[in-house]
Amino acid sequence: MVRRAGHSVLVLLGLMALLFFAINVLGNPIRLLVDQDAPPETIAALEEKYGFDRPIHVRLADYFASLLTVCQLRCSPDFDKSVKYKVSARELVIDRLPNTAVLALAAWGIGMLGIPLGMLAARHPRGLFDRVVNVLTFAVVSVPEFWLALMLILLISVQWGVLPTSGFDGLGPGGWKFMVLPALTLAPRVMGRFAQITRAAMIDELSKDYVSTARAKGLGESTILYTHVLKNAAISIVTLMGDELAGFMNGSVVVEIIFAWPGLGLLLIGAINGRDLPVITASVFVIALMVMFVNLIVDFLYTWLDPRISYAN
Amino acid sequence: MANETTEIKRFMNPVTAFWRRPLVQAFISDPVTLISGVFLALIFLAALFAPFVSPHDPTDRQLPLRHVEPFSSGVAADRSESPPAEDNRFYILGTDHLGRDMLSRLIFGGRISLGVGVLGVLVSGFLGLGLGLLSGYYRGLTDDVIMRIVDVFMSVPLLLLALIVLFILGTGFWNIILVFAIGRWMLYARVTRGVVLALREQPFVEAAKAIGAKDGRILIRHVLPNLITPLMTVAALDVPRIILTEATLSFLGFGIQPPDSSWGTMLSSGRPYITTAWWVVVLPGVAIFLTALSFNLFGVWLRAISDPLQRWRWMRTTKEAREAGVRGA
Repeated sequence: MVRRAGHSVLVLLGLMALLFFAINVLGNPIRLLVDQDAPPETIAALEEKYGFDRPIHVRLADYFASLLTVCQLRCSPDFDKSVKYKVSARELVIDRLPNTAVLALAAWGIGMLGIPLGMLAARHPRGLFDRVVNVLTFAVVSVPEFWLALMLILLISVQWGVLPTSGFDGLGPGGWKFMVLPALTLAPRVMGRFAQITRAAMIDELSKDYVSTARAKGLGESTILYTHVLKNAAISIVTLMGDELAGFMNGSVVVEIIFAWPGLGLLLIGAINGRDLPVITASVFVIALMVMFVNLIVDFLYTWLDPRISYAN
Repeated sequence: MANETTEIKRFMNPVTAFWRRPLVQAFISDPVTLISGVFLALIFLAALFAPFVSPHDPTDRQLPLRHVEPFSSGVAADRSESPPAEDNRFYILGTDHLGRDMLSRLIFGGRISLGVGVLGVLVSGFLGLGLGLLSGYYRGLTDDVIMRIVDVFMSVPLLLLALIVLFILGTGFWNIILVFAIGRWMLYARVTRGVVLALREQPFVEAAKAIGAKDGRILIRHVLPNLITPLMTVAALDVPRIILTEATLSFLGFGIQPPDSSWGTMLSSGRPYITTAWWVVVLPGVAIFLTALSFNLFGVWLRAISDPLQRWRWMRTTKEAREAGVRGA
């Protein structure tokens, strides 16, 4: 388990190195901050202020040291504060993180409905119900999220006037109205993927020998389906959903922007538009950390679902 | 005797012979696949021959004719003559906020959207194929290094990567292609590596080695042909994802920049008018949706048909398949 976690940390460090490389070698961080026609003196002064006049390996070492030791998330000394908000980038990100997480949990909670849908479809592969579910699930994963969001706003908020078009009012009981549409925009894709994955995993498991054995000894079809097959299929379902998570962040960014939901996605886009490097670094770090964390949970779920898998050696 | 005559007839008529091939039959007999396949063919042809099939010039602004509703006509000014002549035009899908014909813009926008989708898949596919071949064939340290890089890239959300890269390099058609190349190559590298690892132990590769074939020849002549089907399946299912991501990027303002426009750009520029002119937002979305859906459905069919364990379900007629499904479940 320690080894598995260590692997995650290495991947995360690799990713952050990539980001450092992208910002510092492919682009010029100071050039990104100032106007195109800024005089050389201004650039030199800024370089000195933020420590960009030092050799690149020193900056890299400093960057990693700050990540590892204090998690201060700075590109260089004196560069840990958001350029726009004048507060620590870390605080900004930690402030926004729960909002994104709650939205994700809501969407994934609704999306779980895809599992029973996929199970029903898998009972009769290529049957009528399966065909309908198949086309429907592909339809919902083919809808651009930003378009779905606009359509929901147009229909529910503008035409019917039921829910607010966008906004945020805390995560408490008063804020639920603002959460319905963003969650409804994100949920269909999750649901569709859940249904597809469950269906594929169930069909795969149903063709295995132990199913024939179970039938031969006279077990009821639903006992076989729910106690034997589903449990074995759960491993594939969990794996594939872990892979989906990185993709889920894509939709989350767009939805946060359209509904003005103050999560990490909105923060990141604002930071990119405002060329706010510390906030960009911090948001990327935290988003990658989240993906990594969920993948770790997925791996530990395996050992629980299938005791044959072990990370001991 | 009767048998012989039919044999001869089939031989004499290549159309019938083609029609009766199992693959063609499987394609025709599944209505969903047939419709999505035909739709894809149509939009590809429309994009390819855009200047010939679009009814009007997609950049021709007719400000008096802003937001003309679908299926209505208006009197436009033909500026090719001076003084401008009156030109009575019929707009099938209406006009946008600058009085440009929506249908023509959708057709030309499709060029960019489909172009990004197909080129993105091709470039990332070849990159992934090359690295996957190296990784699977030489194994050892090369494999370890490439697979660790794959792990890193797999954990980055595509949109995040795209935003960062476009932030650093600036926007533009080829930079977007570059984004997809570095954001999607891992898929192909993984599939390629898996197939190559399995193949390199096969007798035919051993035999090729034994007669002194060089690595390059083995990879190109013996391994590559076995990779075409699995990679094509991955590619068909990845085109819609790339089209959707490009649309999202354009919608956020990081994608295709005016005067060029993709479906995502059209949607984004129509967004302020969503309450007054629904078609400027609905139509590009429908175009993206139908294209992505068709690619997905076609890709699934391709995957099923290339998988020997699943193929029989699709090869039979619907009724037989349903009965077989009931028996099997």
